[in-house]
Amino acid sequence: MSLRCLIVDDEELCRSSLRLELETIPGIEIIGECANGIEAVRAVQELDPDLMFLDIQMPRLDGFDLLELLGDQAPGIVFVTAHDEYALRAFEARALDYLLKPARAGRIKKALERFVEQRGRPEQQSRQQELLAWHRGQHKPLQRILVRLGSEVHVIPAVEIVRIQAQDDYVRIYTKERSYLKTERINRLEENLDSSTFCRIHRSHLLNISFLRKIEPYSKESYKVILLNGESLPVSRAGLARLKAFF
Amino acid sequence: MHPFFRRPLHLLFALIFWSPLSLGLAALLQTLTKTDLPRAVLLAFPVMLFLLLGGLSTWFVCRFSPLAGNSLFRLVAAHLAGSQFLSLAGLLFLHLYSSLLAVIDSRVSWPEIEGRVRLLFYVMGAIVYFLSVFFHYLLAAMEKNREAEKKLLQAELVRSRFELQAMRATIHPHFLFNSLTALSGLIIRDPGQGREICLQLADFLRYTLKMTQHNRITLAEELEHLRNYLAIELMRLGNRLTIEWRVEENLFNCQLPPMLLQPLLENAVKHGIQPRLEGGCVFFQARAAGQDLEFIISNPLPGEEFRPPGGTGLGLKTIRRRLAEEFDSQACLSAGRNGEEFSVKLVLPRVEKPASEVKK
Repeated sequence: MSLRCLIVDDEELCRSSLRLELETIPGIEIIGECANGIEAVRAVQELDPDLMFLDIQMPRLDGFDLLELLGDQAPGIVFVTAHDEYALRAFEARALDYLLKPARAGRIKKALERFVEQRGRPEQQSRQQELLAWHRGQHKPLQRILVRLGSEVHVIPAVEIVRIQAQDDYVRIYTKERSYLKTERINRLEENLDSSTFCRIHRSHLLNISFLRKIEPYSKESYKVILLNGESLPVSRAGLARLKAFF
Repeated sequence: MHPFFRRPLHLLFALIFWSPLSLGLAALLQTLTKTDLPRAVLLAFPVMLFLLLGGLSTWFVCRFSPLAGNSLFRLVAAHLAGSQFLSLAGLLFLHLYSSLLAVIDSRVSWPEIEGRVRLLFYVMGAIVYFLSVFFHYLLAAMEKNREAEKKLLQAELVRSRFELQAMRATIHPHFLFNSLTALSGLIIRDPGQGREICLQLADFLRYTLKMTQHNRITLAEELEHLRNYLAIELMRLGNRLTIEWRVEENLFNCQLPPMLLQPLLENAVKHGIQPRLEGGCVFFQARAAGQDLEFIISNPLPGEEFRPPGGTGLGLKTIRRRLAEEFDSQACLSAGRNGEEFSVKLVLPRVEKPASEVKK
């Protein structure tokens, strides 16, 4: 059975170059090429590849963004980069395989053998998640949140987020216009979003304080906040202390 | 503190140098006072040592009245007074010392000897004083020279660091390896164009390696380099990149430091075009503005949420430092956002290459 591969790179000629090498390797079927992360999300949904050759630097959504968006739906990934010292060190530290451009058939074969050998092992997933966590740590504060609905990708700029509410294993992200559901823990968002704009007012509420209108007493010892759009949200005792620190 | 005391070895040399002088003086004393040599030495050495220390202390006088910035009158007055002081102090020391000798050794008349050598030591004090003033001024001049040299070396170091940075930025591995990868794809599809890009890449690399040897190049040469660079980017980005080129032709012979413009264009492509899915147009203009040469490079910006972290700040800072080094305040680089566009303006003094040197 042949391996069904997807090539993701924003430069067309770089894709051709990799394709030329891949075509010399038996047992490989190239099922598609994608020029950016958005196309790649769709292609993964529609084609369900075994393996994805993923360029790290791409416009709009880079390789890391794609990894985040696909979550546990991600196929096997071989990272491809021309030269990115930081990323390379990160791959090596987590025993993740990568190819250097221009990649040659001999080296690609080794990567494929390794992939087949480790296929389906759970540690591969956790290594990728670790890599993602490292990457987030490098790029704090978060400027945007990515949400995938099927094969549709939404990019929500952090400044447009009004509030975030925890719902079981998900969070619901509210903008002025609509809301999005994302598989994510609210603690992690609180940690990575700009702490000078976002305030955890309650165990299940994270608020962008630029949308806050007022704080008012709710009952005897509790408070609530009223937002610019008229919504009201509960404030916990710890949340009130945090909120006060902003003013 | 006197530099001699900071280096004991130097002090030792001074003492060794001083001994034959003292011995000579002792011989002179012997004939003058008709006493024996050991006694002459006994008298001459300590007094000469006293004078030596006095001479070394003129270092302070020299430091506080440097040759530059003091009137001749002031200098002459200061040193005449200084020499008088040293001579008289020498005589006082001579008097005290010979009184001491008179107590210890009563076989000869020390006061009489002192009377005979007083004039000699007085003159000796003045000679030692002026010699050491001369010596100290010489030392100061040498030190100044050394410092100037050190400054020059430091400037050279800063310059070569710039060059290294420019080279690293230009032959950026990410750019180079991506270009080679794209080229390896292009060669199969369009061998003719592949060959052309190959040659342009070679010219581009050679120029980058060579530019460190040149202080100034003509605008025509730099533009050729920019075209090579852009041809490679065009190959990589395809129809995502377009360039609008506006250069006044009468400027081709203007001179400028190499590698100022290419990093600016590279920034425009890297931060303006590459992060945009739809790409965009880089605008490049070179024009005369009065006595100056003005360059404007602008590019569209990706949306805020798509802007890769880490901006052009470091690159611009390096170029600004280099401009300051080359032109002091005569050149300037300004950069800023104008709506959804980022633009950089570079202004340099316009210097034409002399007609005799223009290659035809």
